[in-house]
Amino acid sequence: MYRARGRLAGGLCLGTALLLSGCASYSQRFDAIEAQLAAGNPSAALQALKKDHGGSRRDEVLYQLNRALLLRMQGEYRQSNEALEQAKRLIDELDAISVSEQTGSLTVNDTLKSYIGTDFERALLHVYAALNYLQLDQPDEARVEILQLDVLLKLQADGEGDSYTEDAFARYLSGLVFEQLGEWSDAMIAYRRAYQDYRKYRQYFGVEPPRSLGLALLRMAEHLGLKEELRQYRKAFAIEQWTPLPALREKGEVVLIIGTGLAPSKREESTAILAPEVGGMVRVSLPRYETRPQPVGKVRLLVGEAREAAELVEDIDAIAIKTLQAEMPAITARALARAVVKYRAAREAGKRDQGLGLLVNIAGFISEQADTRSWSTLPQRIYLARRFLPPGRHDISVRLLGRAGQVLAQKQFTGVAIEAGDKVYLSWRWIPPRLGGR
Amino acid sequence: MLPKTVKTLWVLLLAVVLAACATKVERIDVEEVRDLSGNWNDTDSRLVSEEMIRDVLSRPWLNRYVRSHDGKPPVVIVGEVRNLSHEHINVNTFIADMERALINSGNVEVVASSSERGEVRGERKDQDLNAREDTRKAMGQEIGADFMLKGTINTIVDAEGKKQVKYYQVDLTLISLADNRKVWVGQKKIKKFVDKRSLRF
Repeated sequence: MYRARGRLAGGLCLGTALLLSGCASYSQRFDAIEAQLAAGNPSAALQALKKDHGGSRRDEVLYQLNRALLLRMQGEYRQSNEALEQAKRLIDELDAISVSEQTGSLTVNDTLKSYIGTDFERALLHVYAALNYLQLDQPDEARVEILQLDVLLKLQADGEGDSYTEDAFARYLSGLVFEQLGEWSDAMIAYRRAYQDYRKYRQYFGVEPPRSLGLALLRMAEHLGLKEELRQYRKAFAIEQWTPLPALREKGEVVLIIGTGLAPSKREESTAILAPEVGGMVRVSLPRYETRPQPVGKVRLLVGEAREAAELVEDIDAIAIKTLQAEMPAITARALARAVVKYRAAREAGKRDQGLGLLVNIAGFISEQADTRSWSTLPQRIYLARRFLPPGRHDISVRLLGRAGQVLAQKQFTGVAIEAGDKVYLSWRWIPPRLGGR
Repeated sequence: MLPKTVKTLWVLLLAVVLAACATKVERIDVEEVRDLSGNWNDTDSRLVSEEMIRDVLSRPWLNRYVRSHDGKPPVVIVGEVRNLSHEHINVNTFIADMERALINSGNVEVVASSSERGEVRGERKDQDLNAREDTRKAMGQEIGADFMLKGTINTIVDAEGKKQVKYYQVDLTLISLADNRKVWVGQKKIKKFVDKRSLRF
């Protein structure tokens, strides 16, 4: 395009490079926050997050989501829920299609759109709110979140169906909440749904239905007298022995939720694609997920002499990548439309004045930026372990083992009080000291 | 120099922007109904509590009790109202609304709930130690309630796209503490249709 203007183009490239280095993308700005997390310092990460957030309304939802998880890491469950509640309200408000933002995303770039989270992020919002309430020992409030989640998932399932339409872990957690409140049939429905979803997870994300879910299904089906289903689950999970529900009510249960690592972050990638309207190639910036190394091999729960394996219940890496893949055609189409608009604007301006045309061209080039926003404080993976224990105080520890079986990290919960017929939720978030990846 | 029309336009634009930025406060009557999000709000809490209390006080159990107890009004305690809905409803304001409506009716007596009693007992214990003898209130003189009012708030949400039908059902039961008899069961339903906007600027 500018081959004829050799020297000018050179200067232009230099200027552009200088300007571009000035406006870093969202995920690049997030690196400082991640560094604090890797250093095991969530409160400093929260400070960095606050400093980075300039009060931009477009990024407000994301700010609240990240703030909520950083607060949760520090055990501030109540404040964390306040942040999630704000995010929820904003998402509700911003869910309407904005005329100005749409125009912006079609002429300047996608970051001009308000961020309202992807489907899985919005589901996990409720999951984390429910977990916060459970850890505050407010199961009725957690139940509210579960019901909201149900409405959301139903609406999402009504939309175009790709690999992620349902959240298996969210359904599993719903079952746990109903079970805790003694609502057996609701628990059965949620567990059953979770099992169906995990079979989809196996296909798309490589996550197996957890054995603990199998046991829950067996107990519940037996208790409700669903003989045929009982037979099916026995076969599917290959479980022959389990403790029936009434016997377990004399014990308490500890439910441990372990989040490891950090969700993948989006990076910008420039590619040239063919634009027939222009009659040549145009340069567009597209987002791409960059996953981090996943060092965890096994997660073990130790109570006294007993050992229990924690199972993988959600692989956010896999879900995020599949979600972006599904969105890619729309993102590319928008980028292409933008490139054409920018090209035409530059040509029109160039007709009047060559210098002006160039200027518009530069502006178009600089403003082309991929939307690299994502809820990056989410864990890479979520593990869950359930263990029934006699009433009393127990020391519980969790051990993360690497792929070669070496101990990566260990966490001790001392004097956890267990009551008969009740559930105690414990959580641990581990972020490896070396995130790597770049 | 800018042309005059452009200048006027700038001034106009500035005025519009400034007007939009200023916080506007307007006082409204507590009785005024103003639905913003379609969620459970103060109006729902007030309307439901008033109507249900009016209902409970107009039923035969009350007269029957008064007649069989030499004209003494029954003593009621407001127990737990469980929130089984889709929203984080502040049940406390609902309970306070009900207690107020019950007490103001003058037909029944209301005793403090279990959480309030704890504080009152603490105060009495403190009086026992620190208050002058003639002003000291003795322990063990509390009035035991005859009935307990308890219930649930339930919702059914049906949603499609931007449209939502919310159905609230509040169930209250008055239970006789002496023999577990249910002397009154009340129900109030509210249905709302919420159509969220699909476009914004």
